[in-house]
Amino acid sequence: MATGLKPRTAAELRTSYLRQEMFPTIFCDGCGIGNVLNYTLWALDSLGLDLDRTVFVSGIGCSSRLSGYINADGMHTTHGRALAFASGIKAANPELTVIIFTGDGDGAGIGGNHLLHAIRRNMDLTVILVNNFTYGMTGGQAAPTTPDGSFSTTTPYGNIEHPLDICELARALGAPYVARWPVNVPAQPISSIAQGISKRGFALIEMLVPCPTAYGRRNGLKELERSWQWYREQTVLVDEWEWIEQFGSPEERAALGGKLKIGVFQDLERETFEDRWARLVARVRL
Amino acid sequence: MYAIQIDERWCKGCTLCVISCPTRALRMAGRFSVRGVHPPELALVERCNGCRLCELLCPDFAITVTEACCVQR
Amino acid sequence: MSSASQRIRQALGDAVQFVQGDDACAYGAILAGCTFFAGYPITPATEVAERMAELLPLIGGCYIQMEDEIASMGAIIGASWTGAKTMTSTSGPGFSLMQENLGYAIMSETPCVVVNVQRSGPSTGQPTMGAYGDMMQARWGTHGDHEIIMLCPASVQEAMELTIVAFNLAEQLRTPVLLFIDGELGHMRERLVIPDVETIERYERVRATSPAGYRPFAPGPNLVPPFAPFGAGFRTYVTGLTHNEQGLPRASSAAIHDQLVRRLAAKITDHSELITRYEAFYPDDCDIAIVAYGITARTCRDVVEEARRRGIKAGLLRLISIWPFPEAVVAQWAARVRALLVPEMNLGQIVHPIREAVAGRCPVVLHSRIGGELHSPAELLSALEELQWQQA
Repeated sequence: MATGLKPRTAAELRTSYLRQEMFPTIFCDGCGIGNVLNYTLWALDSLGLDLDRTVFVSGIGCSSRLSGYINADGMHTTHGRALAFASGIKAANPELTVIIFTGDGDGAGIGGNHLLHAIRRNMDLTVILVNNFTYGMTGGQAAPTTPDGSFSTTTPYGNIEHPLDICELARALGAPYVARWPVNVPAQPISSIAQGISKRGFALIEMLVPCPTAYGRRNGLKELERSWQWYREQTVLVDEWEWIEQFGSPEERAALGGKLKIGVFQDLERETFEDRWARLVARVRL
Repeated sequence: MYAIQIDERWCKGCTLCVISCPTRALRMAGRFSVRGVHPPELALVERCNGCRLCELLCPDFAITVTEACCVQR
Repeated sequence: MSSASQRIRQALGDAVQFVQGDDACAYGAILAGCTFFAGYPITPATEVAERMAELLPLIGGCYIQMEDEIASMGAIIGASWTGAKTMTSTSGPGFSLMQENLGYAIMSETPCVVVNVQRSGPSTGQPTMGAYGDMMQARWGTHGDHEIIMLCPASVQEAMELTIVAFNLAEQLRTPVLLFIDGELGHMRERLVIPDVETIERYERVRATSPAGYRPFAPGPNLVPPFAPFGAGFRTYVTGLTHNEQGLPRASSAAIHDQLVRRLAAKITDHSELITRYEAFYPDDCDIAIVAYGITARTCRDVVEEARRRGIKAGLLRLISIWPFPEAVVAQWAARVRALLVPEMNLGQIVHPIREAVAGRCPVVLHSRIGGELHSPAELLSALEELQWQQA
C-alpha cells in the first residue's frame, strides 16, 4: 500500500505538478489518458518525489504526450524508443528517478524489443503504459492489444490477430513489479504507480483506458458511461481469475474468455542493472 | 456547504464528473462554455458532501470543490 | 598530472602503440572525456565497442550493449542529457537504423558522436570490405531540412585526433557529429602516439546558470542555447516536435518552424571556421589536381609525388571535413587548375558537391572503384596522365 496518501485537491495538484502553460491537454473529451495523469500525480505526491530529480520520458502517441504535462525534466522521444532513451538517462545518472509514459502501440508494438530488453536488464525504470487498444493519435488503427474481432481503420472487417498480453510478457521476463488496472478504479492505480516507482528495478503498470474517439466509436463504446461500465464488467481481479481457472465450473471458465485480468501480477526483488554495473566498476576501476 | 468551480478553458464536457458523482449532485449545464461544450454545474447543492470524487476522476483537472462561505453547522 | 588524467593514462596504456583505426577512435573518445557508450556489434566497427567496453569501467564510465542500433542512438542521446559526453559506433546497416534518432539529436540539439566504419553496401553487401558508400547518407540520411557535421580521417593517428575534434564540435555547437572511417582504416594497424589528456584541448557545452527565466532553446549569440542537464532543477521539456524557445510544442506554427529549422542549420553553417578542415599539397604549384578523402587520399599522396616526378604539376586537396561541404576551398582550387580528378570508393557521391562548388570552371572527372579494394597508385596515375593529356 502507498504510505502517506494525503488527500489532495485538484487545485493543489495543478499548482504543484502541472506545466500549466501546456493546458488544456490534447486529449479528447472522456479520454482516459487524463485520468492516468491524475492518478500519477496522486502517486507522485504520496511518495513526496523530488520533481527536480525526476525525468519523464515518453515515445510518440496520445499517451506519450503525458511527459509534457508534468512540470519536471521531460523527454518526448521517437516512436517506440522511450525505453532506449530512458535507459541512457538512468545508466548515466542512476540518482535520477526515471518514469516512462507510453502506449500499447508505442510500448509493445514498435517498442516491443526495447521493452523486452529493458526488463531483461532490469533497469530501474517505471513504465506507465496506457492501453486503449488502438493507435489513437493516427486515428484509430489496430494495435498489438486490439481485441479479437474489433473494428479499426485498418481492420474495417474485424481484427483477425490475437491481442498481446503485455503484463504476461513482462511477468514472464521477470519484471519485479507488474500490475494492470482499469481507469474506473482510482485507488489501485495510484497505489500501484507509487509501488512501481518505489520498486528497485523495472516496474510496469498497464492502465486500461477508453478511447471514445478512435477505438470506442467503432466498437460500441463511444459513450462514456457505457465505456466505464464495460471496464467494470470485463475486468476480473487476478485472484478471482485464478480461482475460477482452478475451481470454477466450465461455464465460469468459459465466461473468462475475452475478459481482462487485472491486479498486481508480480512483486518481487531482483538486482538492478545499475547496482550490478556499480559493483562491476567498483571491482575493476583504476 | 460546498460549491464547485469549473475552469472552462480546460473542461471538455466529458460528463465523467456527472456520471460518477455518488449523490448525483452534478448535472451538465444547458449553456455552452467558451469551448463550445456543456460544462457541469452543481444542480443540487445540498447533496454535495465534498467527497471530491469529481476532482479525482476529472481527466482535465478542471473541477474544484470549494467550501462555500457561511456554512451553518 | 591529476589523478583523473593518470587514470586515463593508465587505462590507455603505452604512449606509443600499434593499433587499429577502430581502437584509435575509442582512445580518442576517452581522451575527449567520453564517459558513456551504447552500441551494437557490427563488422567492421565492433572493435570500437569492444575497446569502450574495456576502457569505460576502468575510468568509472558506463558501457551498455543495447539491443540494436536504434536503441544505441537513443541511449546516447538520453545519456547526453545528463551532461555526459557520449558516443556510439556502427557501420552502414546500423547507420541506416540510426537515422531517425540522429534527426532527433539534431532537433533537440544534443551533443554526441557517431562513428561509422563504412563497409561495402548496399544492404548486407561486403561486411569486411571497406567502402565510402555512406557519404551522401551522412548528409541526407535523416529526414527533413538539417545540417550535419562529418569528419573523414585518413590515418589511424588522425582517427584518434578527429574523434577528439568531433567531441569538441559536438559540445561547442550542441549537435551530433559524425566520424566516418571505413573497414580498411578501421582494421589496419598503424603507429599511434597517444598524448597525455592534459595536453589536449577539450571543450565543454556552455551551461545555463540559473533556472529562473531560463528558456532551454533560446539561442546564445553564437546560435547555441546554453545547456541544462536533467536533474539540476531546470525542468526542461525536450521534444522532437517543432518547438518554441521554451521547448513547448508548436507544431502548427509555420513561423516558429521556419525560425527553428533555419537557426539549427545556421548554427552549423555559420561556424565553418570551427569545422572546415582540409590538407593541401602543392596548392600554389599545380595545374591539375586530385580531390580526395579518407583512405583513398593516402594513395593519392603517392600518385601526386610520382606524377610530379614525371613532370605533371599535380596537386592534392585532401578533404577532412566533408559536411558542411567546404565549397569555398574547392572553388579556389577549381580556379587555378585545368581539371580535377575525384577518386571515390563509391559510384560517385562527393563528386556532386564538388561539381556544384566548381560551377563549371573546369572539368571534374570521377574515378570510381567499388568492391572493397583500394584504388591502386598505378590506376590513378594513369587516370591523371590521361586527364592531363586531354586538357593539354
